[in-house]
Amino acid sequence: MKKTWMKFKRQYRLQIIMIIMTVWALLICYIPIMGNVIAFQDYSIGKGFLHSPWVGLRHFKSFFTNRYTLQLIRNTLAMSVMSLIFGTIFAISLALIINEIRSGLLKKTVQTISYLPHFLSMGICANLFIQILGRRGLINGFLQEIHLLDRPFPFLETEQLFWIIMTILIVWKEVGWNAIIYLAAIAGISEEVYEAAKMDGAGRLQCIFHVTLPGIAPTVIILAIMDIAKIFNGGFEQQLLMFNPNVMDYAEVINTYVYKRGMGAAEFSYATAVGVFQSVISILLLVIVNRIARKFSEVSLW
Amino acid sequence: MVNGKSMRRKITAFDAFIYFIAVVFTAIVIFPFIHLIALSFNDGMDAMKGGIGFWPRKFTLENYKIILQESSLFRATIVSVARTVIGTLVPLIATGLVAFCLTRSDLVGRRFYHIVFILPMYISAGLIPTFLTYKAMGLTNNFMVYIVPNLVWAYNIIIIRTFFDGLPRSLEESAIIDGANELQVFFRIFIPLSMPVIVTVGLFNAVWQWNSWFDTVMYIRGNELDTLSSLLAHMLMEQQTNFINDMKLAKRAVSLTPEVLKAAMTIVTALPIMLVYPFLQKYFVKGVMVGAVKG
Amino acid sequence: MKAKKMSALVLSMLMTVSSLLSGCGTESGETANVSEEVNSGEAGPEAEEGSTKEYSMYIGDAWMSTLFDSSNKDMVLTELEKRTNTQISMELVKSSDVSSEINVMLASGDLPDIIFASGETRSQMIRDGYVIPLNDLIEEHAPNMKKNLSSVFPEWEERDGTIYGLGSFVWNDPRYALNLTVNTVQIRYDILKELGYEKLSRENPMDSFITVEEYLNLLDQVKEKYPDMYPALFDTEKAIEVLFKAKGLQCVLLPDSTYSVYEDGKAVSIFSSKYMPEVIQFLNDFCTDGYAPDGVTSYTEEENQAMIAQGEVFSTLGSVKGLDAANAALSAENEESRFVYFYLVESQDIQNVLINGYATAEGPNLMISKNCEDPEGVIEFLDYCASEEGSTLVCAGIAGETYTVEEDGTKVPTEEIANGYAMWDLNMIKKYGIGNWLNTLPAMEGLDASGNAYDINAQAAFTSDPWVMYNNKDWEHFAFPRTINANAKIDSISQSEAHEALSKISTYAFDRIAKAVAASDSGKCMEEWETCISQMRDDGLEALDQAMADNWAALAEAYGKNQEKIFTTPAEGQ
Repeated sequence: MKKTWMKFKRQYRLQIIMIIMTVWALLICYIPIMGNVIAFQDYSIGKGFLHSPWVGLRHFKSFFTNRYTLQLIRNTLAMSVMSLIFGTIFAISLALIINEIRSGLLKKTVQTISYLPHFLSMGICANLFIQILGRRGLINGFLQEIHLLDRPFPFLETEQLFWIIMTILIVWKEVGWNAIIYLAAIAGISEEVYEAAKMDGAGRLQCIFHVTLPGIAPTVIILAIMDIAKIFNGGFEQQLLMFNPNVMDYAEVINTYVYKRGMGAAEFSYATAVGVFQSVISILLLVIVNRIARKFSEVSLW
Repeated sequence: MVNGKSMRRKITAFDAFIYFIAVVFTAIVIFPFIHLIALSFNDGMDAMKGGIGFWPRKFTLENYKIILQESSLFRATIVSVARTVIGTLVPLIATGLVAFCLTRSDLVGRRFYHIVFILPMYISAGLIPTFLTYKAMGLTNNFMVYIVPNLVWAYNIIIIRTFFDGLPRSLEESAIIDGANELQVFFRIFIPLSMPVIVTVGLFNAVWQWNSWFDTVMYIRGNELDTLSSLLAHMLMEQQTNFINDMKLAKRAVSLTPEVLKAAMTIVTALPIMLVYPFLQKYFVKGVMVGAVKG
Repeated sequence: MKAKKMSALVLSMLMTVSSLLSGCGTESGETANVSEEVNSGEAGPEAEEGSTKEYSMYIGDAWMSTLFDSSNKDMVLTELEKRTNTQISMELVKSSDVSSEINVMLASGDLPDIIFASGETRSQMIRDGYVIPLNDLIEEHAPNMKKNLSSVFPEWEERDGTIYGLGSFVWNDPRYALNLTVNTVQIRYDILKELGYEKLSRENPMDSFITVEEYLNLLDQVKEKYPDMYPALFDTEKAIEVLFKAKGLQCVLLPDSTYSVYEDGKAVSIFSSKYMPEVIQFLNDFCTDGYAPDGVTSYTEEENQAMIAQGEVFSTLGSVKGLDAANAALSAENEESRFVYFYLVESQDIQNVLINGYATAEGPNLMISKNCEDPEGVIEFLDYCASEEGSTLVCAGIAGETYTVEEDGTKVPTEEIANGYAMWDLNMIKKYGIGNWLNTLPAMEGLDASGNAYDINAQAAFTSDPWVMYNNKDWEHFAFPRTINANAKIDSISQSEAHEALSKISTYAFDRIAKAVAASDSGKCMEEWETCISQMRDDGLEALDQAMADNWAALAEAYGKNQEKIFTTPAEGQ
């Protein structure tokens, strides 16, 4: 105990900073989180937090007994996991490729252009995909031109393709932006390690596998931990925009369902209850994945 | 000379492969942007017919004119710039400091602090509780609502901390031997060596601040503190609701459709970032070890 | 040191800019509820005896908010303020997420005096006590409303007779049968002309009607003679509405309240209607017979717009998303290629076709908040709008500035106003206030004493192209159940089971129906529908039906009507 206190006093500058920021976090983040209490109430704004009647777990029960919920969870997970896996792989690959470009001009150009789709709103991107994949779109036009098809194929209305299309959309939109972090991580690997490798006879490809990838491994693992915990929370705008009745059983995710429920009535409590469920799962996942990471690698969140 | 291989520029098969992929990728990615630019210069009614490619079919500057003629545009841009600059620098310092503290393995309460900052990332707080909290703190209707709630984001803290973890201990140790305290180590050693990740996090913050409009709309009454993005969001709402209005069946000869207006707005908001980014690229070079200590 | 310099610089920059900017922001969060003077508009009212009363008004509707400019008062408002010795400060909605904005406003406790809101938000405000009852206030302080608008009070009343909101759309003359798109098919004028369709001239009284058989006949002709055109497009929900109404049935399809139809003397949810399977089957056949293109149920607004604007579509069964815009584009190029309306009926015998959707749509929207310190004054201000003078100002503007008076007393809008209104020029609307206030304030909008329309632009509509708006010639053929507000909403507190059922069902109802319609053959279609209806029954359809039947019965009683006779009474004038 005394030892800890001594350490504390020694680090006083750091501790002051941390304590100030903790107070900040309490005020800005945690107090609003208390508002989640309405998940256990029948909340109406007029009555406020203090006077809305308590209903206990009713909303949670309603959510879990809904025959739709399992399907919602399946859809949410499928799309989150797919975009996580492919998103990460492609972002890392892109970062590696950009890093290997020798021409400074091409490097800068590719880098600047690569993240442009990040700035397009999801609405514009979805619209674009519909234009390309629609019955009158580019792809159908092309396939009919070369006589692979004689009538348009409804890509966007085919249930089984929906998840794949969603993944392509998300990856395409964010890969350039996500690569930025990996590029920064690559830039952080010291030159010496590369020189050492080259002295041992490593070619470019081998450098990538033996120096770069291990060098950015901590970043990759940390980001993966943080993203895995979010898989139950993912998906809203893109699913809503690309939604059509024919794919409804594969396209509806938790967030879009809650949104649609809320359209008809101000179902604050229900939406919050689902949110609480998602948060609990996220934290569980976070703790589990972090523990696994700690066991198998030296890198973990805490 | 290393291993007999010359270091001069020779295009290897590997290079060619890389270049090929890079070019293909760039083409895929830039196509929609060019399409968007074409759309933004295209007449709205005409664009409705679809089929605009890389070039506007019926050229017009009307879309941009409408945006640039918006009366509070200048003021909104100033607010946006102020918000972005301050809202990037201050959080950077705060985030950097917190990340630095967390990187100290001997920090008392390290695990506790980690949890304190990471947890909120996974628990959402509703709009109304957040609003009431900000109101109680006096942040509503105040420029500070753009800065204070965004001081640190767990995501950014972790990224910077991970980077810090990767820096060799030897540098730190030698500085401490020279009598530096922790904060001096932070400012003199960690920051200069972490420019890539600091610039990255700074960029993320800046882009977020620049594009953010939800907080303006929800937490600020009155129009003085409108940002460029909130102004454009409002403009778009105007166009959309009026255009799809079917209450009055009047003939509408207006050429402005939400689609082309959205395209022009996207260009207007994305352009500043695109212009700024190339200047930041120089920070992405491999970190140079200043006064490196050989083990 | 460099770092210290940097941080000092940043800090000082921060302090200067933030102090500059925070000085500019208004710290109005915690202040009193009567408005502050925010506007720098045109000249305010002249100082008369007695101080000017100040009120704040919040327009809690996205569409309405686009019609106003909160920092520049329009001509009508300025004149209104002058005549009533008031100052109104306007607050508008800033984004399309109206519900969140209003909820935040309610949570902040900082309520304006007058609130305009609709739909679920409005119900929420009433239920949670944010707005005050107006009956006594009207009784004691609103002589003009009592004199001129009392015939529409039943439409403003809640179930228990309390009036919380004042309505607009107070057309006091049944000839105002505007906007009848709800049960129409829309067809290309030029193609009809080429086909030699005899009803185009509208010479005979029943020429505005088209039977289902006639319509299909036309589509067959189009399939033959114009093989490159799509005979028809439709949006599932609207098409279903059209087909139900074609049977002469009253139905209301509003997402935040009910999906109900009135059949066999009582109300039932449209999903339980005995006609639903046949309507779905009809649409399914409609597709498989090639009248509508593949995938029509999944078309987006942009796709519709593109097809229509390129002239590839002959007709739409009910309105479709994107039709208005594309129609405007088409007619801008060539007047004759516009779409014109016909009312779909199942057979020539159907006489009851609902018109005047707005009298039966949402509740009255202009309310007074509980924080208002001077509700009497507000009612008096609003009462002026219901007077003859006030109504003229609100609906027509100022003589000499926005309209001129002819020798025979008719009011003619100036060219600027007429053109601006026809093109829906927001600049004109925001400058003069013609086109917005009559949607907000409780003014008379029917005919004045001399038989002319109060609404300056409706007058023009009577004489302009009869294809764009309905005119006097045909109104007599329609049923006119104005006195029943057809919106028998499910109450979330006393009918919570039904409310939850409705909430669950509406997340998938029309999507499943669309899937059934898009099925490749009638067997699969009915299969899909069976799955859907059984899912709905599991989700509480029965409770929903019961609640709807109860609500409509209560409504009928409140209005003193015989429930059996609702919507089956023939039109006046027949």
